[in-house]
Amino acid sequence: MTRRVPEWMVGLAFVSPWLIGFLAFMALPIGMSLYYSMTQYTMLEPPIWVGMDNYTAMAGDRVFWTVMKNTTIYALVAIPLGTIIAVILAALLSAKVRFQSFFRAAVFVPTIVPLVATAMVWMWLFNGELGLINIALDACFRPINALFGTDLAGPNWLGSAQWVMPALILMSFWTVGQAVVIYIAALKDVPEVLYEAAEIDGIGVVGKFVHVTLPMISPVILFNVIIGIINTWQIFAVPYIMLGTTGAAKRSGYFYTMYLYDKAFPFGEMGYASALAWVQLMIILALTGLTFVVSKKFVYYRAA
Amino acid sequence: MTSQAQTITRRAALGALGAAGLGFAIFGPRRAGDAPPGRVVIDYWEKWTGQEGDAMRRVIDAFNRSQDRVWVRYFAQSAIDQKALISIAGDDPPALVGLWDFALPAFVESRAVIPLADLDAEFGDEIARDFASRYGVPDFRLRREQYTAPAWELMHHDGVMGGVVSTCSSMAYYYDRAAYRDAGLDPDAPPRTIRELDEHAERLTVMRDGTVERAGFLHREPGWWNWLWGYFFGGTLYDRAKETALASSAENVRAYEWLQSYPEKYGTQRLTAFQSGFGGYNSAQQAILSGKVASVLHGPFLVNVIDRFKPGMDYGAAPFPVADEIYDPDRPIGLVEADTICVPRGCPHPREAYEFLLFTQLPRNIEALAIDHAKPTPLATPSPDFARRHPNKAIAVHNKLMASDRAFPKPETRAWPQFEAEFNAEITTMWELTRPAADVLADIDARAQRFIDIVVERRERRYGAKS
Repeated sequence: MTRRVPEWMVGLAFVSPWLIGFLAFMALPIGMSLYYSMTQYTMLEPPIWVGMDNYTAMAGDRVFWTVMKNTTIYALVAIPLGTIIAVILAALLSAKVRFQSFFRAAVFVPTIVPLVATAMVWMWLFNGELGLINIALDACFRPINALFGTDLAGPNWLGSAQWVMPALILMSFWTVGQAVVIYIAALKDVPEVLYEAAEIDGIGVVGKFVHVTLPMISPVILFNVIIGIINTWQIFAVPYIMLGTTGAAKRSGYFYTMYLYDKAFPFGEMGYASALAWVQLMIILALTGLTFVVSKKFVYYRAA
Repeated sequence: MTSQAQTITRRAALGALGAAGLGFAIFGPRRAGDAPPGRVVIDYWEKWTGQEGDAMRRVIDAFNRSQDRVWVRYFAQSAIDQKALISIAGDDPPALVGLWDFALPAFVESRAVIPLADLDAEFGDEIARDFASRYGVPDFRLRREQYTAPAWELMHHDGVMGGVVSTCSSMAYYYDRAAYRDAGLDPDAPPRTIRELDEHAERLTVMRDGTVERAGFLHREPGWWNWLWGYFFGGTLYDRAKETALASSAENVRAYEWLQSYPEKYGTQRLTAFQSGFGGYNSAQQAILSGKVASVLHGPFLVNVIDRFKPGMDYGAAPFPVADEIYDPDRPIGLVEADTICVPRGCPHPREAYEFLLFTQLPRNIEALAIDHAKPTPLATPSPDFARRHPNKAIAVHNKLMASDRAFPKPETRAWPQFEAEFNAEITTMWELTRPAADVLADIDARAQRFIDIVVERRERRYGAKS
C-alpha cells in the first residue's frame, strides 16, 4: 500500500534538516543577537535594555579603533597581494610542464593543514632567534654586513609591534592554494581563439595576460576578492593561537573578531559583543556592495 | 510545469525510522557511565588533565568508594569559566564546577553560584552527621580556622563564600642554584630586596659577542603576571572599598621604572630577540630549565615541569624580593591564587554536590591534592609530614607566603580580565622603552577605571548601590 504525498511536502521534508538547523542555530541566534546588541548582557544575568548605547560606546572605545585599523590594514594588503600571487601561481601552474600535478598539489596541500598545526609551525618559522626565516635572512645579511659594516638582522617577527602585521600577511599567502585551484579552472575556460587572435595581432605574452586572460577571469577574481573580504574580516584562529589574547605587543596583531570574542566571553559583555558583530556584518556587507559597484567597471561577463 | 505526486513506501518509511533509531542508539545520550545502579550521579567539571586531573580523580574515587549513595563523574574542560558561564546561562550546568578564584567576583555577583552558606544551612547538619559516622570526623563544616587567612579570603567575594579552595598557589622567586654557583654567588642566600636582586641579576647575566647568553632575571619570563610588580614596592592595583584603579600610584610607577631599567641596561632588541628563543612552559626548552634564565618569578607547579624534563635540577626558591623599606622576613609578599570548587546555580543535585565539595575539604584530601599538584596547603595547620611528603623541596616558602598577611590575590573586581588585558597589551610599550612607565600606567589606569565604572554602574542598575 502506498500513500501519495504532494511534491512540496516531500521537498520540504528533504530540506527540513537544513531548514530546522538554520532556523534554530542561525536565524534565531541572529535575531537574538540583534536584541542583545541593544542590552547590557553578561549571560549570567537577565539583559537590561540600553538602546543604542553599545553602538555609540564604540566611538570612544580605543581598542575598537585599534582592531578596526588592524583588520583594515590586513585586508587592504593581504587581499590584493594574495590575489596577485594566486593569479600568477595559477598561470604558472597552467603551463604544460613536467610534474604539473605535483606542483598543483604542493600549492594546494597547505590549505588542508589544520589551522592549529599551521599556526604552531609558523610560530617556529617566525621565531626571532631560532626561526628558519631569520636563519635564511641572516645568511643573506651576513655578506652585506661584512661588506658595508651594517648590522642587518632578521626581525623579531611576532615579538615586536612593527613586524607582527607583516608576519601575519606573509603567512596568509600560505593558504592561497584554494584560490589558485579556482583560478586554474577559470584559466582553462578562457577560449583558445582569443589567444590566437591576440597572437595574430602581434600581442606578446604579457599583453595576452593583461588583455585576454585577466578580463576573461575577472568574474572569478571578483568572487575570490569577495570571499577574501569576508575571510579577512573574520580572521581569528591563527592570530589567537599565535599571539594570545591581546594580539601580541601593543595589540598589533589584535583583530576585530578576536576583540568580539574577548568581549563576549572572557570579559562577559555579550551585549557589546553582539553590537560588534552587527557592525562587523554591516562592514562586510558594505565592502561587498562597494566591491560589486566598483567591479562593474572592471569585470567582464562573457555572454553565454 | 506539472506537479508530480511522490510516493513513499511503508518499507522506506520504516527503514528511515529504523536508521534514525539506530543513530539515536549509537550517538544519542549516554547513561550515567559506569555508575553502580541506584546512585545519584553528579558531574564535576574541572580544568585539570594529566597528572593534575589524575590527582583529583583519586579523590573522586575515594569518595565514590566511601559511600553508596552518590557517584561523581569527572570531566576535564578547557576554558572552563566560559563553558561554566554558558552552561549556567543555558540552565544546564554540571553539579560542580572548578573555577579560578579571579572568576568568583563575576559568578558571585551575578548569583551564578550558590552561596555555600545557603547549602550549609540546608544540608550541613545532615552531612556533618554522615561525615562523623563515615569518616570519623565530628561536626565537619567549612570553618575559618581550618584555612590560612589568604586561602579563606580567596573563597569569598563581598562576604559571600562562593566556593572552596581545591588547590592554591603562591608565587615565589625561583632560581637555578648551579647558575648561582657559576656566578660566584651563594645559592643559599637568594636576594631579599630588589637591590640585591639587581646585583644578583647582573652577576648571573652572561653576554657573549653582544648577545645575551643567559639572563640573570627576566620580568617577562614566563610573562603571566605583567601586572604585579608594584606589589613588591608596597603598591596595589585596586582599592576595593572605593572601587578605584591604582595602576599609576607612585609605587607602581617605581616598579615599572625598575622593570624598564632591564631593557635599558641590556638593550630592548637584544632581550626581545633572546626571549623569542624560549620554548613553551611545558617543555625542556623552558627558559629556566634550558639555562637561558637564571631566575624567575614562578609558582610551585614549576617543579612538576622540572621533574618531568630536567629531574635533578638544583633549584631554589624564596619569597620574591621587595623594596628595601618594606622588607620583613616574617611577612613575605607574594601573589596567591586558588582553584575553587563551586556549586553552580541550577545545580541538579545540590545536596550531593555539597557533600562531595565538603569531602574535598577534609584535610587529608586537601593535602593529597596539594602534594600531587606540587602546591602549598591552604590549611592553617598542615600535617607534620606535609613538607616531607611534598615533591617541591621549597614548599615551606610557598606555605609561608600562603599564610602571610601581605599575600595578595588578583584584584577582586569583575573588570579584572579587562584590567589585566590592558597590562598585557601595554607591557611591551614599557619593555621597548617607547614611553615612560608613568605615562603608560596613567593610560592603563584611565581605561581600567572605565571598565570598573561600567561594572559598578551595571551592578547598581541591577542590584542597587552597595551598602
